[in-house]
Amino acid sequence: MKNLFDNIRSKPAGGILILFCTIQIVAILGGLLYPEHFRYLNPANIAVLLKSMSPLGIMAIGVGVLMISGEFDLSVGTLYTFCAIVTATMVKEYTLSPYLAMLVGIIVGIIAGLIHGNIVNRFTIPSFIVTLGAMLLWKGGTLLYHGAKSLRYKYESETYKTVLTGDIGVVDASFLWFIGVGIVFYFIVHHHKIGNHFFAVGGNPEAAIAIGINPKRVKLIAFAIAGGCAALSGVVAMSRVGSVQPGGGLGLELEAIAACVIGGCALMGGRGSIIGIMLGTALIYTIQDLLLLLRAPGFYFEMFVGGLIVLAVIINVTIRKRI
Amino acid sequence: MFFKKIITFVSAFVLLSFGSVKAIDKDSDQDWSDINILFLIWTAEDVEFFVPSINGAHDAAEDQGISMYMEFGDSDTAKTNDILETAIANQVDGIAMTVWDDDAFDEIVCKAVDAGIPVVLHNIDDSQRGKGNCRMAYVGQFFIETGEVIGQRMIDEHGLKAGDHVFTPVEFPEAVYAVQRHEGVNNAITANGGTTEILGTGTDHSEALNIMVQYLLGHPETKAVIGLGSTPTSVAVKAVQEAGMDIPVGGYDITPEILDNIANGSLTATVDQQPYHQGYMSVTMVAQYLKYGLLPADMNTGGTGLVDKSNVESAFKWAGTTR
Amino acid sequence: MNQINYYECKNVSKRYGNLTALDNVDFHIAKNEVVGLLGDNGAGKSTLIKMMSGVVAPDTGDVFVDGKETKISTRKQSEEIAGIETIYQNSALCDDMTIIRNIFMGREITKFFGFMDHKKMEDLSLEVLESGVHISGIDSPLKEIGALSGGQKQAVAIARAVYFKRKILLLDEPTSALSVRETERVLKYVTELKNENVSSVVVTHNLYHAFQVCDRFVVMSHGKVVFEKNKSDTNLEEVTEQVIKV
Repeated sequence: MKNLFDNIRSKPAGGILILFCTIQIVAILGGLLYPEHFRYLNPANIAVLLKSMSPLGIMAIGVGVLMISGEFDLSVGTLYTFCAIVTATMVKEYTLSPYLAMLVGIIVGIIAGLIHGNIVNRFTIPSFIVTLGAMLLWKGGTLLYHGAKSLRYKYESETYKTVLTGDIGVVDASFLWFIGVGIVFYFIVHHHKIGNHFFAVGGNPEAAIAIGINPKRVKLIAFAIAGGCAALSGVVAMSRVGSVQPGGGLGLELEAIAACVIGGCALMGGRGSIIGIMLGTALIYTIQDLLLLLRAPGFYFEMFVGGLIVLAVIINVTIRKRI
Repeated sequence: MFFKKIITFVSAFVLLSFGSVKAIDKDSDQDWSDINILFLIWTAEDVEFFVPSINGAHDAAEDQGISMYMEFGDSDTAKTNDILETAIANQVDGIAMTVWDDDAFDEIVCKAVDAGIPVVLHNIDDSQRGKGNCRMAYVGQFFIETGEVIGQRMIDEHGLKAGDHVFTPVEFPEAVYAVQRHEGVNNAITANGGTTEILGTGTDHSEALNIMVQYLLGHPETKAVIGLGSTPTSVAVKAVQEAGMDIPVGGYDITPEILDNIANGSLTATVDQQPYHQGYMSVTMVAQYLKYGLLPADMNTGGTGLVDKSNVESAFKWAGTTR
Repeated sequence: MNQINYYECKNVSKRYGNLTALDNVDFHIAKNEVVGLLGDNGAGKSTLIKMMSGVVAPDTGDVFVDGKETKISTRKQSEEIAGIETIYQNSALCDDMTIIRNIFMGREITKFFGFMDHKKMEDLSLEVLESGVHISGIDSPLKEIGALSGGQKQAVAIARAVYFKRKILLLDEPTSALSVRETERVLKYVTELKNENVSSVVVTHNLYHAFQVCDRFVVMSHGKVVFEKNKSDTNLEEVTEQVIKV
């Protein structure tokens, strides 16, 4: 048993897994014992909790893959909005099928990521700086493309509506998209050779070069993934509320980075796991949910969430260090 | 017969006299185009809310025959101060701006007024009105008063009683508009024996929706929702549905979602601060002061009226341009 | 002896602006040999190493691999044509990855569409760890490199090079960060490899270690080779003197 515990603890996602399970067990017990006062297990609550994780979760997976390779993309928040608006206008003004429009939006995100990666590679400027500039560029680009007005995103086809927002019981389609993206990238990052290269390039770039891996090429792929995931997360969020606002999404990039770090990714690269990132996202929204259910004072709410996130990171690190 | 002729003659004379009365302002031969006014929007360019305001300002400039240029303060007090310093140095003739921080603009506005440049505020005023700032007048919503109006409307229409709890979400609870609108709503509700609670939602609709659903699940005793800003009001109806509740909803501002919800009866009423008037009247007042010395006066745009099912049609018709 | 050398360079020079890093250097390394490359700082040892591994190209001179004249201008070429691999002080390993993933970094064994064959890589890693020197203390190839000691990391790096059929190892200060016991093990490993047809060039400041493991000594100073003798023809004092001499 101790061996199993140590084994879990030593993996990058180990700390967050233990923390997350502990919190869930306590919350579920609370929900069972006091169903009227603490409605954690109320179907409406489970439904909204699952729904809330998806947009940030999908974005965080992309950000995490890039972080593992040792780079950042701070523009994912504005890409989230920009690509969603592109998708919405494709449907509304160019009468594209919504599936095709979504594909167009994602491709725009991928291209944006490739542009960022190219600039970082070519001019050897830290990605933090390049994508900070890109963030402002895409923000302005959104205005240029569509002005400051929000856009309704109504469905023409019933199947598309189901594909993006339908539900089976408490599980919403957006959550399935989150899980789907997680599974795909789990296999890519942990079982494909390009995944090994992400870790090598982020963990010890000199070692990677010495072995003959091309770090620029590998990072370019990671940038493309980050951009594509940001775009998908924007479309998923837009489908949830039925509209997209220019100026939305700003700030999500920092939350995505937080989810990755909580989930065990090293800020400097070379370490992390997809499961960790997904659990990190889940933990942030679980904390938010628990605080609201426990009737934490609304006025200071953000302070509580921030404080608990820092606490979670400390606990995570402590669990890992006790090896 | 003679009497009839006299009547005709007198009528014709009267009609001709009226017909020859000129519109003094509009038909003036005087060229006012060398009057240059700065219209300053306090946020970034991508805020949808200000689109009608900007339209109003442009319409006013054209109607008044003056020149106008526009700047954006990016929610940054330092940047805004820079813009104003530059304008004063360039000898701008008049300024229409927003004071969204009680202290940061005291010095610069007084400097402008002392230099003979009239300053009229639009959208947000110093919390101490003219006592806290050198501005000549404020054209915008009187937050506290309108809070009391919407609060009272919800009480009257839905029979809220003593002990009833009302949820009042807003984008940024620490902002002046949020504090004052909440004060107004709270005045009405507590006078009726009830309670309110404020909660920050941010401007992303998807995240706001999640937070509001989770709040309602944690506070099942809530009897009504009054959004204090466009984001929470836009998603409030959906939030109530997802929380599995059936309580009335009211709020502030106009967006496509809010208008839809008023039309289908799920949202009772909204306070429309009529940004078009804010832009139009503030610029008009500055221009007419410069032309004729007419002194600007405070104006509560939107007055104490509400947009509800009875008058929502025109709001639909002109949404995004003047509404 | 009239054997064909694994690697030989003749009249090689390299200048960086006014500085002459290599001045008409002749250097060779044969099968079953460990050569000590000695000299004080700035003597030109690292430039020679870099040139051998293809990181730096010589201005003049010729290079021969297995007796044939070649041009080596990239790292990849030095690996493929001459079978050279550099073992750095930091071992070119990633601390956060397992031994398996490090061994097969960039050379992953894949099944279909590039997905890795974990089982095969694990089995081969066990082979690698057990062959050559038995790297003591490593019971599982699933351990992370970061959990190993300095000596163990060096050993893994060397084992990796050997597995991928390198013929010449360039060891740059291999023992400077190691404990006494670990140093013994690495030096023993290098000696055993010699007998398995893997030759080594050991660059070091530690003349005692050099004497333990090298068959021949080459001392450089100011870009030139100033001294070259087989171990049997010299002793520690003489070599030390040559290194210290200005």
